[in-house]
Amino acid sequence: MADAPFPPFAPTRELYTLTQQWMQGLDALGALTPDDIEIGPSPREAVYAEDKLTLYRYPLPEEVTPAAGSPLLIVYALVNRPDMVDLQEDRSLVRNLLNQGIEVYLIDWGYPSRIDRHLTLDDYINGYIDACVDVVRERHGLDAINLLGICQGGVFSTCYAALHPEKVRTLTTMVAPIDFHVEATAETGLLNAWMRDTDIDLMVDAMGNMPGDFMNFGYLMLKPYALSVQKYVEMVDVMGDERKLLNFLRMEKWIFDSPDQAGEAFRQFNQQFYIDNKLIKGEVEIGDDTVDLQDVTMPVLNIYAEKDHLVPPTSSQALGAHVGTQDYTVQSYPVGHIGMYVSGKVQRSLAPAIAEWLAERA
Amino acid sequence: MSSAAPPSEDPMDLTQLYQQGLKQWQQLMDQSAQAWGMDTSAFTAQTVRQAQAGQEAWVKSLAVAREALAELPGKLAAGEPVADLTQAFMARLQTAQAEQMEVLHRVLEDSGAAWQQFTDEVLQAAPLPAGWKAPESAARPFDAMHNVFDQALGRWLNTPALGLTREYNEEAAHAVHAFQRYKQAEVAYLGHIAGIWGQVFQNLGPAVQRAQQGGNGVDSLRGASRLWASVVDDTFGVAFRDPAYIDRQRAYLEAGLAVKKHRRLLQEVLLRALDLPTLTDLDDAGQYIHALRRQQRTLTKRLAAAEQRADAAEARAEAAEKQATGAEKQAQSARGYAREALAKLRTQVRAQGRTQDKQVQTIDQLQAQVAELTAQLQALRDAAAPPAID
Repeated sequence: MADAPFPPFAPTRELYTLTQQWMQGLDALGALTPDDIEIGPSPREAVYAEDKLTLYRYPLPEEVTPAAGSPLLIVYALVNRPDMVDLQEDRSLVRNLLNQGIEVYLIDWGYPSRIDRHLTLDDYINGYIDACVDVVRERHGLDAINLLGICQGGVFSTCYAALHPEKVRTLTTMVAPIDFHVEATAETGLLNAWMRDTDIDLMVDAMGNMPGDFMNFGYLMLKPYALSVQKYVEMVDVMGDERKLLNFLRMEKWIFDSPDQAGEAFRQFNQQFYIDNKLIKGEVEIGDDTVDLQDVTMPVLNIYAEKDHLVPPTSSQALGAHVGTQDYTVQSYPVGHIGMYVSGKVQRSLAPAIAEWLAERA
Repeated sequence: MSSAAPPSEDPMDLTQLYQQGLKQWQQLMDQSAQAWGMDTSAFTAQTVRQAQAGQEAWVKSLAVAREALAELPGKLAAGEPVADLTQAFMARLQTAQAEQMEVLHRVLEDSGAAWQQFTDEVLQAAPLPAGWKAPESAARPFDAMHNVFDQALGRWLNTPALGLTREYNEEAAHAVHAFQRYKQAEVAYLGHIAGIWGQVFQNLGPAVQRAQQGGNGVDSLRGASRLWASVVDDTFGVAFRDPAYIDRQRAYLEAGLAVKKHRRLLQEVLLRALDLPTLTDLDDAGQYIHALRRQQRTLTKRLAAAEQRADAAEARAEAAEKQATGAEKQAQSARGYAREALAKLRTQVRAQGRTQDKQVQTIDQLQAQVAELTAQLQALRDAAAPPAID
């Protein structure tokens, strides 16, 4: 475009270039179909299903020898889809764990509908997770298995480990909030501040299930302009490169693929954890049981992101002060919440670190 | 309206459209008020004047920006540094904004008089309870307007409904009340958001200056967009943590949820009248199914536990049976041994008995012999005895 008849006014020329990029990018975008945006490429098989839940097993590649710390059951959050742990071939915690010889099982919660609005935390923790743990135990002939909980799934796994310590050999938590009342900083703790005095009962009574889009809107508001506008302005720079464009589109698909939250579970989780901060007080009630973190007596590996704007690092760090185990390890990475899954550096080091830690305790 | 621009021939003249819209709103408002027996003409006239003043301030701000932008290419072509031009542009914009903020401030102050006018007009039509006092917050005319409504005509919204359709009337009244609260919260929320946007514009100038002083001057559209994004997000990031904002956001959200809830309840009254299932019915069914699922899960677990116990018991029974079989064999063997032993014993006893019989016979014989010998001895003693001496 060097011959374009433009005055030496940089913004005008830039605008012209941007427009050109947009036009070329639109060609690239138009050449793609929704099926091209593939998420979760690792081979897997469904080994258990209950209601809308499916338990997937990711078999080890033939050339990989099973490691001492195998198998590992991953419990993901109810918010967003668990596909994030296997986003694409070169961004896959699952694949990296498999390459370390760790056979992986993953709970997919499915998409709760109106009929599921009465599901409680008891159903999720003492029902679904317990059933999946039993399936893995039975398949491998083990009394206890390794559990990895991510984000809200980390909270669930911690509760489960406290309630059923005899079935959990090791507990790994990743970007999991534990202390929900840590002091907000300029970068973190906004969700906690927003939820603290909200009338949860009214929310659930009015909406039934909590719409995924409603929650997504809340996340967008953490950085409203950057996440709603600027991101798409900068998208123009990747549109010419199909690989980068597909990466962008995969992430975009994952971000906005948000299942609704079962109403009662949402009510209980927010009331007990966000508003009353009962987990560190030993007062969380799951069904007829009370969660006492002192009952978490198995080895614990706590992994958090140092620049996490959703789960403040201090919220995750609080776990160490409350669990009953003497074998507690903490590990952090200089990334944000999502960076734990997509950062190149984390991709290289996270799975080997988990595998090594598990092997030492096999 | 005296300071308004002359009517334009351009059908897309937004200023003219805006003024026409205001006039229509004024007429509509006055007519509606008249239907309720009120005269709100002074209030609407005041409101229109304020709206027009606000609009003029905004147009002027745009004109300043447009004028400054139009001059930019020429100055750039003349070789003036971009950084200096940007700084001058921002300074000009800030000066213009300050003037307009002053205008808007006056408009806000005047709105106090407008709401007072409105309350006076409403009070004439709907007498308020004894002891009611107008809120002192003249800076919040919208809030005050709602309060007046609540205390006057709005009171019936919370009264028991009457008549055949009382259930519907009651839900409708609740829904209207919730909607009124929602609009009230919406105005407060949007007003707060508008204040944050004002803060964004105030923060923009210093941010541009800081970027330039730090050697990161805005020299491209991308750079401008990034700077704008950071200023917006930083400003909102701080504002979102302000307890006053959190309160307004929560109030707005909860008011919206209340509207949704009451709208649903209102719809359900109609659906029930039409003998159609409601969302509450579906939720009840869902709850029932959920309870059944839980029961099923509990029973499945119990069954599995019982099966495990049964398996264990069966295994124990098998082991016990094996033990019993062994014991029985041992018992049989023992019984056989015992029988044999008994038989031997009997034989021995019998043999011993026979021996004893013989021995008894021998003893009897001996005893008879002893008796005979004793008799013989006695006879001999008698024979050998000396005669008795008297």
